[in-house]
Amino acid sequence: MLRKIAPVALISVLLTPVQATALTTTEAEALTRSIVEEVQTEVVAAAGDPEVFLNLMDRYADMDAISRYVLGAPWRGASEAQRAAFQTAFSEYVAGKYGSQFEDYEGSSIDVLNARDLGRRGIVVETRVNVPSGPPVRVEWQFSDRSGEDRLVDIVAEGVSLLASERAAVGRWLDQRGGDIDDLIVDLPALR
Amino acid sequence: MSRIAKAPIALTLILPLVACAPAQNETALVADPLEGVNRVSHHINRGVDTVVISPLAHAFGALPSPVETGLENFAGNLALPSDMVNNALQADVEGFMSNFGRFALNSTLGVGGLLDIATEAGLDREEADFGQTLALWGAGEGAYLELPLLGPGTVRSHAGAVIDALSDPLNAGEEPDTGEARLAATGITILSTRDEQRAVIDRLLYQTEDSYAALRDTYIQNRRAQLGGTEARDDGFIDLYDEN
Repeated sequence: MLRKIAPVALISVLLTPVQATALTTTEAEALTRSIVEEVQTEVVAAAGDPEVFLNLMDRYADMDAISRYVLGAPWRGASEAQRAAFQTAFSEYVAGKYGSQFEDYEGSSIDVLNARDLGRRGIVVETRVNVPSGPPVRVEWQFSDRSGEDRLVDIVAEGVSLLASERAAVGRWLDQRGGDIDDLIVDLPALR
Repeated sequence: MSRIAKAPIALTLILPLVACAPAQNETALVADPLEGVNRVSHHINRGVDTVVISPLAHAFGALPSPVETGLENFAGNLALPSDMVNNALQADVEGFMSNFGRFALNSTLGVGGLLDIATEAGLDREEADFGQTLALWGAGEGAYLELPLLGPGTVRSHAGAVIDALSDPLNAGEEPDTGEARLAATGITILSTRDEQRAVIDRLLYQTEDSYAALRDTYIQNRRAQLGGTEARDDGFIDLYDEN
């Protein structure tokens, strides 16, 4: 079965024009603008309702790959059901933790400065968030098309990566629970 | 003097020893073999923040805006000589000239640094510290180290801060006034930063289940990004689809 399909799949991959699917710096900048716009309108209007933020994450970010990365090595040993449950719990955690933080940025404006192509790691869009109460904050948005879709994979504020921070935190919490993924899944949505 | 001068030497001797300690697990962002001691310091620092720094920063933030800006300008101006020492050690001619011009302009026409006319003239502050200089010279980062009152850092950054304090031209002068002014400036900068970053710092210190680890993981990423510039920042981006 697989042998019959393989050559056909290979040919169709070879025939697909690369330009049509590859994410460009311009597209990444446009994606950043639409995310920012949705956050500024819908998420702020929802006043911290995690559902609105969850929905935004699902549409723009590769929560599948992000969940896998954040759980790290234990992902390999996890069952399909555990993986799905972890992804749900992690999404709820992120929405609960970050969804309410946007009120800190009330009255802020954001400028898209530039986009850098980092090859296989995707495209990084650099923005400057102008905060009324202090110095501007540099926020970088990393996008990739390697899942087959153009997706947000990381947000880095002043060098602090959401991916790296949450992977470290999840690693700690898993250690504290003796590596029990099911325990972590139960606790994760309420952790901070 | 001789007793003080020994402190950085001792730290420099510890540096290579601690730098060899391995990270605890695969997802740890920084080696933290001193975690036990660090957590004691963190407990103290959190208490000092709750009782002293946070309320004072509130008061600082409540000052009339021109007063606040004037104090911040004054404090930023007095940090420039130390910046310049490190600009020079890092052979950063551009940064040195910018800071030199800035210091000359703001100290005179800017009424002793209260007004910041240099920024409008295009002379930005190029911050530099001895921890950064050590990094440029190739010294390893060393273990994570949170110290009472001095806060989060690495062995390298704290060793650098000791040397910065000792080598600051404002501390070295015969006039005791400049040293006292420099100390006041540091205090102003701490309160101003605490006030400006209130949302982020409050969340890290008071709304996380493990504020020690949250502060450590945030500090270390932020510091590394500051040290490396754009190139190192690009290296830091994760390849989400190659990780297993």
